[in-house]
Amino acid sequence: MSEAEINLGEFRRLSQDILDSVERVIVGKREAVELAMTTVFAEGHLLIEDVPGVGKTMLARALARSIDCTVNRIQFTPDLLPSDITGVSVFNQAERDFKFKPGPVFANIVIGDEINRASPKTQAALLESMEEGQVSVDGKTYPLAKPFTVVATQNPIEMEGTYPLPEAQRDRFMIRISMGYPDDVAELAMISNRELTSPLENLKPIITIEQLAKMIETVRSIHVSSDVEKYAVTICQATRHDRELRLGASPRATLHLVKAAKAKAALAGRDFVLPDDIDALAIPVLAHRLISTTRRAGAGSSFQAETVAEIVKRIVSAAPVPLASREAV
Amino acid sequence: MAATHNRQPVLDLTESKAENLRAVLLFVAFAVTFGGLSTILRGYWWWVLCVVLALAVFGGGALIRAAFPTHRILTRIVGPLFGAIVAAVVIMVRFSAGTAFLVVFPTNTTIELFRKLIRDAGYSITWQAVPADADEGISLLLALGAAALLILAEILVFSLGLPALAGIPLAAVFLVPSATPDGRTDGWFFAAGAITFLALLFHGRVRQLIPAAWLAAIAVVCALVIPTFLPSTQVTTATSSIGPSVATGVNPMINLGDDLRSSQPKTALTYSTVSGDPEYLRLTEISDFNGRQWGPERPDLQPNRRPVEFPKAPGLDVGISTSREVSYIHVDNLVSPWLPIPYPATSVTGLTGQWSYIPESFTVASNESLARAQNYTVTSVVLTPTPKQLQAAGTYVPQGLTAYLELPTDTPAIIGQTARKVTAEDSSNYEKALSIQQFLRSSPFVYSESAPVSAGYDGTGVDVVAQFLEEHKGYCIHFASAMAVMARELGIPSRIIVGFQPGTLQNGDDNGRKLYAVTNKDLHAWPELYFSSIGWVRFEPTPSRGRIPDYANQSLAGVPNVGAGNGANGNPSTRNEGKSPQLSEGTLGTAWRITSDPTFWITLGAISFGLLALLAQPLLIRGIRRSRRMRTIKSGNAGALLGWSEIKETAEDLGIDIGENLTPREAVAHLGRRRGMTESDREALDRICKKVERAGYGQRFKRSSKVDLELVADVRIVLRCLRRTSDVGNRVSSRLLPKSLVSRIVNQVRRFA
Repeated sequence: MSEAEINLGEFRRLSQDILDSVERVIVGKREAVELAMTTVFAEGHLLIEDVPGVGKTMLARALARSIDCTVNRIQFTPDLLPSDITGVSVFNQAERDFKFKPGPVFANIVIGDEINRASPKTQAALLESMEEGQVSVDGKTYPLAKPFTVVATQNPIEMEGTYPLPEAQRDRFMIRISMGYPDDVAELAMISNRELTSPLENLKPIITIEQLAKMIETVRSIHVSSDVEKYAVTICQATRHDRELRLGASPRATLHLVKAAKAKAALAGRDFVLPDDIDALAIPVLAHRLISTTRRAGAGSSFQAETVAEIVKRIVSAAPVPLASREAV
Repeated sequence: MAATHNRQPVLDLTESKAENLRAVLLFVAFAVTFGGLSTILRGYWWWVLCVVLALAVFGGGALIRAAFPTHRILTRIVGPLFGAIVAAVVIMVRFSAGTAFLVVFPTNTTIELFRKLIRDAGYSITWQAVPADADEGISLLLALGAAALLILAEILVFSLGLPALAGIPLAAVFLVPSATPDGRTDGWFFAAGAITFLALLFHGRVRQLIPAAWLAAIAVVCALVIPTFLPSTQVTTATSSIGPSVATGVNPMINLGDDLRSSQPKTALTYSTVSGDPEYLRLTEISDFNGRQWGPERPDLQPNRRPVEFPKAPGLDVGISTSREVSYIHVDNLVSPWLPIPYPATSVTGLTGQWSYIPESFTVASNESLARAQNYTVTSVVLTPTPKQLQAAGTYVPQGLTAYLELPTDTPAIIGQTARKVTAEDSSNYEKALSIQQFLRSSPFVYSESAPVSAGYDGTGVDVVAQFLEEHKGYCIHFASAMAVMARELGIPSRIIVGFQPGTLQNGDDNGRKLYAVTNKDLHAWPELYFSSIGWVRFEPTPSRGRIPDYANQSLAGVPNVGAGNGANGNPSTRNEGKSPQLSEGTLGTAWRITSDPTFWITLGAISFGLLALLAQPLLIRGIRRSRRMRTIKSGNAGALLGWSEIKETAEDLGIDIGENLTPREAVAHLGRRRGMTESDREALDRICKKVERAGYGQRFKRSSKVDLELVADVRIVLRCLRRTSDVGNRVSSRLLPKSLVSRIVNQVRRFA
């Protein structure tokens, strides 16, 4: 183990602490929280998609607060301009020169609230920086912070006044989760919590930015056997040939799937990825990138999401699981 | 999938070399296996012909492959085609006998000739004893069959790429002798052929050994079992037998012993007579005592000798008292070119087909028809010579009977010595005959169907007679031949008759007449001796079989009377071996019956053993596989993955579906949900699962290489609980026909295909 990593036991302890901390705010949504953490440790970007008021932003903020790092929040509106995200060059009269004024994207965690409310042009500015890890303004490039994670939330498109994300941009998000309504117990607990103070305010950072960097490094070192790689490829390839899918998973999706699986393995305290990790992540990682041939609803609709999830489930259960046979006689 | 990719290269020199080697091995395998036919065919020219054909077919294929090395698909189709053409040319050159146009193109005459040859081959096979002479017809038949099998092999191995299946045509050649009466398969030829075949498979592809071993096992069991199931095996061309048949096809002498020993009585025919008396029915005579194996000569059947009217019986004088007898004979399932009739017949009516009588022997035979299902009426005379008349014949032998006095020059001296010793005090031929009959019917001679087989003198010939006189054990053939040869030694004309003893009285009747049934157990051989003015007279030297004619049953010149019951002779234990007519009464028609015949029990035992061995094959292979895996795990050379493979295969055997698309964790969860799983079972499963995951997906250098006894114990626990939680049906089928083994074989076959 190099200096840049921390051991898996420590990884697991810290991640459990973050999980517990976030759960104090988002009650009863352990799976969603875990997926969110997976995204962060796998250096991906998270798309939280659900109806308003189920705690999308709350999750993003709770996660951001648990890590002692720079956090910026952008509320996307139809009149938001690209420069409102990336920053602008301002002419400094004293120095008689343009000076770059960084926008809100320059932070470790950027929360993009209601990303589908902004115009495609503005969306594109954010998504470009997500992929490149840098921002270009007036011919000069400015590197973004590291680690860098965008947590975007959006409403399903049947809601009024939204611009659905195009396929190419949905593909940039590693994981898409939806929160879903809390059950009655969780909802009751939420009410009693809120009576006193805002629980978000009470959250203390659990890890430093240095620790986060180390944890990301640890995830990178997780072993992926060739069999598991083969399994991930098999599944992604199957989506491309499936008759019920109009658009299959991109090669980037395959990369994301394996990366996310590594983070999931690390969260489980394992130093290698199992096919089960791939199975568990197939829907969160792949579903939002695929378009089914069913014409009844457009891309991104909740109906579409359900259909696609079913298809992915079917593909996963049909994919043969390779198991190393080098020892077998 | 890999295999299909391997075939892609356009020109693969090593592959073509391998194919040439394969062709050579295939050629050798067939050449050796054809050699195995030497047990049923005499000479060696037929073998040379087969080898030339093999060379033609395999050489032709190889030539095409060498000529067009880049056209794999083309050579696969054209190769066998070319081989077939070359083989056809060889056959034309060898058999067309100048009737073909430009030697190789068949004309109508050629086709006619071939038809005739094949028809001849049919008769030849029916008539000839084993080993048979490979005459023109048999050679042609053999050549055509061999060519077909060779082309099949060429297609299987080179066109379809299934060398393992080349065993089928090879096994077909190998099975020919074992399906032929008295045709023993020569173990050496078989072993050599099998080794070459295995070399063919082993060559390059070790994995084919498993199906090859299966094939070999099946072939061996078939070779052992099939002949015992075939009803008194015969090669008949006319019809194939449906029910159990009594066959005398090739040579009645050869089947006789087998029929007597067989535990399954099969009704050959039923008959009734006007007088109500039972009678001996003759099939054929043997008068040529030369050669290793005696058999009836192929008669010269003349179409004008219809058996509707016979000439006068040879030698029969008017002074001999005779009575007329009419017999109504219904043949059931006797596969024989000879017709069972009493002696001497005067006319046979009601026959269908072409039948002719043979004036010397007074037998009736056909070149085309079989005795099966014939209904006919025989008018005959019953000879009742008095002892005085027989005595009066003295020692005079009329002219023209020298053929019935000939003995091979190498006849062992013991026969003549014994004959003269036994008849030292007799003057007339009649006295001598009675003395010989009495000598053979009394101690120490005993009737035994099995002794000649175990002592190795089952068969015919003067050497067998000599050995029989020393061993004192045998059955009708031995007694009849001994008496006939001894009679010739003393200058009495003699011949051996093969036919049926009178059979058993039945409960039913035939138009008010007593009905007798004759089974294969009644097949019999007896001597006939010639007396001047009387002609051919039957004697009965076999103890406990048949009935002694009155004229041979009289006390004369001090010869003690031999009772018809003849219980005084032989010791009681041996009499059990003989099937007296009374014994088999009431048991006719039963397929299997309790018998004290040891050969029955030996055959039954052998078949059961063979079947059990076959049934136990999967169990054995699977068991060996399991224990080898467990040993490997115990030795620390392999770990959880091997244990997991074993668990998965056991689950498959038991019909538990763990598809290829379940992860180990899912599979374990699936197994853990089975009813009857205890907590400790689940814990063992979980421990194994963790180890499997680490071994299968973890980093290699982190895997432990030390012996994991916990794993061995856990695997055993899981295997046990899988069995425990399965129902009985699945447990039994998992043992007898493990699905994992079947699917492995299927996969392998698929890979070759």
